[in-house]
Amino acid sequence: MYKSKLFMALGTGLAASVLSAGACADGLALPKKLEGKAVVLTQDDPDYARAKLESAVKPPGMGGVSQALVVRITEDIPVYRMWNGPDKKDARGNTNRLGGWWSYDAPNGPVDKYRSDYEICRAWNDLTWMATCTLKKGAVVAIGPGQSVSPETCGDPTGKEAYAANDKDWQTYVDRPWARPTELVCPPDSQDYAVATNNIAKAAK
Amino acid sequence: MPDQTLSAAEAAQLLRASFLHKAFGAIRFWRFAVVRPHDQSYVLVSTHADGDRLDLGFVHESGQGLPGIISVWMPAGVTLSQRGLTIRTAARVRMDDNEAWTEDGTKYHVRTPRGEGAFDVGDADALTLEI
Repeated sequence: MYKSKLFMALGTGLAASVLSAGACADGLALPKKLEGKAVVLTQDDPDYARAKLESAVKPPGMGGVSQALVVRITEDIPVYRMWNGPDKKDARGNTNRLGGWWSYDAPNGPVDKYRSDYEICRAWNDLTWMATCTLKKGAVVAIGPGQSVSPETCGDPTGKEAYAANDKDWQTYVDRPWARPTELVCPPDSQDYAVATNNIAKAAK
Repeated sequence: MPDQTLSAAEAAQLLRASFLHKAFGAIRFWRFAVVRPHDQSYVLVSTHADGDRLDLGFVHESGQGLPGIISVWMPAGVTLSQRGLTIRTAARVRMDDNEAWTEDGTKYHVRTPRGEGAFDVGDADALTLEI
């Protein structure tokens, strides 16, 4: 009989290590694109915890964001997410149209550039369809520069698939969007489109 | 900090008592992130042992879709914390068509629909379900 050891550790070791890895938003300022549309929350704001920084901020090589601001949206803004399309479902029958990771910058350029800019492993997302939803006034989310992703994290058997951290293209983390229908509002997926691989701003012909 | 030696069945029973209905957003086999971390969220809904294999049943947190299973062969060193569940070592871990295993504890192999590769185990846990 193989044995298993159980250690009940009720401390906050992992959370502490993640926070020390860069959750503190040293030197970050609200991006110009969001000026007048969002305000930065401080840790003493009652809504601060709703952004779930501990889920968004990750150590180097593990994706997510390297550090983050918690913001409250003060004016409805569009947010964008690439996904696998309505016909591709996981083993449980779900699509990946809704998820935690979004961008507030309007997408453009080739799919491969978007994948690199937003550090998205091929195993995680085909990036074939575009959804545009609305982050509503009052929503509380985390935003920050993308963290790097290593080949191991991607599970890339060639060891070559890696993405550098990106200070330019910030990510938007919406924690558990399916449970926040008043904060993230999406149209029917019939309004989404299959992207052209050379320019994701356009639908494939 | 208790240090209990448990069989897979006992681990299943203990996780059933202490981790059932907990949500987790990252699933890692050693350092391989099987899904994009914290893009989705899942909830543990069952635990079961079959010999040396521990099966962890989960559903999407939204309640949509069918249950799935993460199987862990020869699990050892189960740790629960506020950040989730880790299993220190295992012979093999599988979810859907993603699988990872180690033969000597120094390298782990990953097999996905894209192919197969090997990486150093280092200090990575065999399975992480991060809240």
